[in-house]
Amino acid sequence: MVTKILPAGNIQSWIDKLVASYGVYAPVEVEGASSFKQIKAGQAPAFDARTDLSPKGIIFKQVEKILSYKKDENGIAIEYAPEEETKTVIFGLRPCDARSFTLTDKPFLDPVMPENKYAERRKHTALVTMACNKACNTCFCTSVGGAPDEKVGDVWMMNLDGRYIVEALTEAGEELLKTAGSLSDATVDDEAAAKRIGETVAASMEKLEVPSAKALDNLFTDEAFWQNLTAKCLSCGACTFVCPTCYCFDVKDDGTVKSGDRYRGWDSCMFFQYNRAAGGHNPREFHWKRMRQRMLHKFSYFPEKYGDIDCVGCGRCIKSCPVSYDLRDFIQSALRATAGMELGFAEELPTEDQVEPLACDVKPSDEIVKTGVGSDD
Amino acid sequence: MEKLQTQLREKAIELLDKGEVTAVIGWGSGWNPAKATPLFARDKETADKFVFNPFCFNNLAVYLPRMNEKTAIMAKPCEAGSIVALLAEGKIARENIYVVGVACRGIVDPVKLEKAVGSIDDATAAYLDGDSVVVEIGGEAKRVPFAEVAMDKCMSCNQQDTTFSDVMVGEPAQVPQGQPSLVVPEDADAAWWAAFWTKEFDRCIRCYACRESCPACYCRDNCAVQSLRERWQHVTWDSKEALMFHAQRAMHVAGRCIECGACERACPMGIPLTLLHQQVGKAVKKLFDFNVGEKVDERPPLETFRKEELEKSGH
Repeated sequence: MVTKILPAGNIQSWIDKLVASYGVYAPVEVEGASSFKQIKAGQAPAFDARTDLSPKGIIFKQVEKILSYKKDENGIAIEYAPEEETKTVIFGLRPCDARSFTLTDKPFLDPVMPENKYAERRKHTALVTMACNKACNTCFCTSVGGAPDEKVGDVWMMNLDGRYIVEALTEAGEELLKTAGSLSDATVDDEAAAKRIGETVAASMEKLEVPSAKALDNLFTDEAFWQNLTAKCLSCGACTFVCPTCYCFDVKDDGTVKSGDRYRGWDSCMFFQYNRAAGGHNPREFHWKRMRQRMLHKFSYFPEKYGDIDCVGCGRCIKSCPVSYDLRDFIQSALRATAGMELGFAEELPTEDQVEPLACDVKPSDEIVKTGVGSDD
Repeated sequence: MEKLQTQLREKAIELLDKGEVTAVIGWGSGWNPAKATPLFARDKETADKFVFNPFCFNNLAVYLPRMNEKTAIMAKPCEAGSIVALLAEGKIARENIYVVGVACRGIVDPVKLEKAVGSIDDATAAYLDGDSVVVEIGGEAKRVPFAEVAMDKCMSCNQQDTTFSDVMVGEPAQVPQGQPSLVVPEDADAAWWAAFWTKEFDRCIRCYACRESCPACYCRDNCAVQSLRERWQHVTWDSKEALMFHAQRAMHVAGRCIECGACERACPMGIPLTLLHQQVGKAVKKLFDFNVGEKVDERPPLETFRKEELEKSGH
């Protein structure tokens, strides 16, 4: 698709047009903490820096009701939360945040077991991505497969001294750009300038070498490594809640046997209760085991299953950690610890065609779909 | 500051060398020069990385209940107060800890600092120069009087002489004298407080960083609000539910909270939690005439009952 130029001073009128037809969420600062909030016409977003909270919660709500139930002499009646159909635009999210949705899509838009509320909102939400003109010193997107000028989302834009170079990346993006007023074609110089900014910002970040998923898997049993690495971790949930890609949730009922509501809300693998099983056993009793889970899920298990690292390098966890735990330290320490490591153990595991699939591993094309498991019936 | 830091490193190395302790908890350099980070040392090499500066925000006493070895801890008056409170409650054993008291000049409040010099995210250097805090951002040295950016709490710190320690490092120093930044109107009533906290708690994301960073919040894995059986906290989340959690926590730490402000500095959303704990602290002081963190052999007032307390409260 072609790049266009949004003239200087026209961005607010475009946002106002969007506000008239969509629920528009943009970076807003309240009492020193920035996050994405729904804006009104005329309200100028705070585009300056990466927000303290990611826009994750707009599509994947922190807490939401998923159903109400009632039991009487006629049986059990279940009323599902109405389908979410509000047309929404997330305006001015950074490429790392836009990328985070493409990662969370992998588990949540799974054809066998989609996360319905996420899927509904995702379908109705368009992303207008604002490329970065500078990097924070906690940013490391280039180390985990992203870039400060990555073209991801529905519309991509970058600030060129007040003018914006814009590009529709999808059909939904083209629709949004139709409301942007008159756009001129971007010149070769404009494109070169944008490319230069992207390269300069990328060069300002340290690019770390990330150990392979398999190498990290082999680090699992090195308990001393994890204990030393996480000695100062307090096991709070700040990192997981500010993280754009952490997607763990818990389902809780509020009510009685007769009637009540079922809620789904964010959970954190850093919490002790997250892993506690019925009967009281807790396989991740200590904070270092929980941190190991968090790190390996992002850098080993998720890539092994879905092909990508489940971290976008936004650096929010580094900034928000009460004890300044630096995820980049983990990457560097793990690289040192796994250097020259023999990967014999993982390679000896039987290959996929040698093992009987577990019920939970059955692919969409298999039996499980035909029997209707996972549907509402 | 440099001298004090060197002395602390030497003391840590000496304790490890002599085998008096197997671990030393102090502060090290973090990713940001204006944010120190807790550091655990078990060897000389690591102990040589200890730092001490006005950016040592964390209350290290939070780690003591989880240590299962003889541990030395660097203690500002904040840590010292918490250690005394933990000893009084029997949560740590005196023989398992070695307290290295640090003569503290006060700690910088990161929120005040950011108001004064802008975002510290991109700071390349931060240090104390005489009575000024200097932060270098983008090649520019921004200078601000220490008294203007010190924690409110530090200005009224009276524990300089009474710091509980096995050894004291550094000379007692003058704490910064300035005006508290958050001033509550004298006629603040319940409605004022309700409006204030509703506004503040609207930002709470329920990450429990406040709880986990608090030495007095040692229930950790058994916290009432995360109980899987009884529901003390509704599963939805809004300003009211947040207030419910924080009010509950404030009551649980009443008479045990030393008002160090670790909770507030841990909060990723910048909620001024110290104020809540100071208000409860005032009530405890008034009702029980009790100073938290003063005596190792006195149980917290809400764990005990004295007849005169009844009379005092008008019953």
